[in-house]
Amino acid sequence: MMNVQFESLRSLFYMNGHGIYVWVVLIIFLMVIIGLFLFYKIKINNFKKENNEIN
Amino acid sequence: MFKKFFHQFASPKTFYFVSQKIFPYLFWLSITSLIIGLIWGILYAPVDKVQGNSYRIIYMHVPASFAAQSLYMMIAVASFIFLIWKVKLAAYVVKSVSLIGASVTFLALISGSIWGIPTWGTWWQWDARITSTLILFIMYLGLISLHNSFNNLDKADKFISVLALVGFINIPIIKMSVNWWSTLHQPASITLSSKPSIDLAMLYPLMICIFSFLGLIIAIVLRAIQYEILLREKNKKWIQSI
Repeated sequence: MMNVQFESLRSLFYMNGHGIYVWVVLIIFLMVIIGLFLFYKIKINNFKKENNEIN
Repeated sequence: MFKKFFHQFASPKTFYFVSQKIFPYLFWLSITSLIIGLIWGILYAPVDKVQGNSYRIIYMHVPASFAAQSLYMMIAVASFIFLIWKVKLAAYVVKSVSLIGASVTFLALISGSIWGIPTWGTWWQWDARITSTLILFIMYLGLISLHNSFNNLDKADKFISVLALVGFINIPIIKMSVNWWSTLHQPASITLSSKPSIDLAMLYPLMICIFSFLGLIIAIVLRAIQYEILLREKNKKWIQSI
């Protein structure tokens, strides 16, 4: 049975002084994924919209 | 039979509709497993004896580095196919993957730099692995800017395919840099030929993160290729009826 490695929410965020590095990387990681996904979604939707207006 | 399948799938129209069907399955499967891998790695994996909790960056850094190199290999294969067999879908792949590859390589570099602060006491070193990854990032930017600098798309496709093949020499250098030179960057923890040097409790979530992130990036690549097809084939009847 696996256990959570942190005793409280505070120790999860703090991670013995390393939390800032881990959370900043996680935020950038998620931002890149979401950014790329939305970039192509918006581009394709705009293309289809323009295409429908022309036709 | 293979030739028939290859020719059929290499048609932009077939690729567009097939990838449309694959995308939701690949996307949702990858995103679900990535969330599981990240939660497992950040909350449940044991603390590293030497690096403490900062090692948890591995669950984002290694998948990004692996995807950055895999995407370049994809570009090199597509460039080869385009230059030899003139398959236009391959040229669309080269163009579409470049921006995603640059973003993922940027992610690998930035996550490695942040990891370097608590581990090495510095965010940057001109070490073989880091420098060769920076060259990979510059290669991706070079492919994007070279393609944008041409008005003639056929010429642009040819030039970036040649440049991509030349740049492929950097991939084995990145891979072997930690073995060829004595560097600050640690050697690979997972190899095909030997037992992993990482504990299994840390390895399992790492493997999930690597493959689910790669799956997610491939799903986004499918979207990028679809967009490129729409742009390049916009005068075709089937696109006008979408």
